[in-house]
Amino acid sequence: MAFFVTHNVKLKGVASCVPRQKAMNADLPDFSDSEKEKLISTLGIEARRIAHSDRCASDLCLAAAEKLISDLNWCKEDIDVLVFVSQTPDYILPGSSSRLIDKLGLSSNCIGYDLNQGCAGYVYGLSLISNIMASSGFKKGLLLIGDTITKLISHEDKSLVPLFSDAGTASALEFSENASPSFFNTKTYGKEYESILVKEGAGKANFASGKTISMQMKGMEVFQFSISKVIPVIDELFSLSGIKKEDIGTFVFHQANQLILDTLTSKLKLDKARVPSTLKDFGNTNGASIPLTATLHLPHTKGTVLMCGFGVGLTIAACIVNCDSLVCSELIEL
Amino acid sequence: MHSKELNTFLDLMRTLFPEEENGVISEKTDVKRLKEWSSLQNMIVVSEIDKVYDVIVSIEDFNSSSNLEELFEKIQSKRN
Repeated sequence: MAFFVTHNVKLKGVASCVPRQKAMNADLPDFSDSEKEKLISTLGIEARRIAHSDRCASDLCLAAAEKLISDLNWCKEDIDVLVFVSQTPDYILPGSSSRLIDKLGLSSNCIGYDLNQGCAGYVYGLSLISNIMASSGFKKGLLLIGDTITKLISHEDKSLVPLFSDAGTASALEFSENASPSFFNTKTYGKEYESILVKEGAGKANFASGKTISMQMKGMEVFQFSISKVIPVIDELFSLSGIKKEDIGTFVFHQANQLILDTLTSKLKLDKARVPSTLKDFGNTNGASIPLTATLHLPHTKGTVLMCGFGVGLTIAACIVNCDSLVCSELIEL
Repeated sequence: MHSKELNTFLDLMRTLFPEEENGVISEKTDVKRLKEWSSLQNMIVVSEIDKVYDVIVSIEDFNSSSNLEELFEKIQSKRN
């Protein structure tokens, strides 16, 4: 069981940055009108954001981080730790966190971590940075998560193109002895690693193979995984934390597609108003989807929020965090 | 003879394939061969079966069913 509690760390704010360029699913080539209508109504996705070819996830995260630091009036010298979560880093090596520390003008005393995680990555990142801060005495931390996942998708892949979108986000965390505890629960199903896979470009099939880099997803496997395995992780989180479903104000799920969101909402017997969606305008932004949804839907939120990501790995990670007085910056377009 | 439950299941399938002509969908239909069949349609069918029967049909269930009657038998066995 990977259930744990972190103390003394408060989620202070969140900011998001999306590419300015939009792609509309209504304009998809190679789909009939009735196919597009069904696709849009089932996936819930009308528009997606596509990063410029020379722009990386770290660029989107950088813009979000600058905005958040400014909105919080943080002094950059005070930031002790930065965690960058992405599956589309700048390079295979070095990791992007050290470059981000430099680009943001943070102190050389700031420690950086790179985490290769996808749809569940935000909760993974929150758990990592919260544990580091709780155990080290670090006062301020930044969690950056983003992907330019559209660069890994073949333009000819009719099942993936309508789904995925690019975004970068930043979340600010602060050490506070008055902070409410955060509760985490995760599950790992590594046997299913091929369900969402980019084979090329790393150790198993490097560039010398001459193959084009493209993401492959076994859509039905991932769908069945999502609707069968996520709810037990959430139920277990409630059971082990002692927090009840009724105590949660908002449920921010990974924005996989609307059919999955609706299924989870129905299985948990939740009012749809408690389960925000950003799919219509931003599609599936991979690991950034939870903080992007938080940026747009959690301003003025009081109380406890449940966040849950699921996908690549395959992995599931859920957490319950207090979001009182959360600063949600205005969305940036780059 | 069809059971009432099988007929109800076939009616559900007919609502999920509205573009198929009347009479096309019967207990002997292999949905995987329908012109409307796609990965998206597969998700919709799994979701509706889950909603109505509280059963998640696996890919193996689909692949090993040559028609809707066999698929329905698998759903029923998972409910019991």
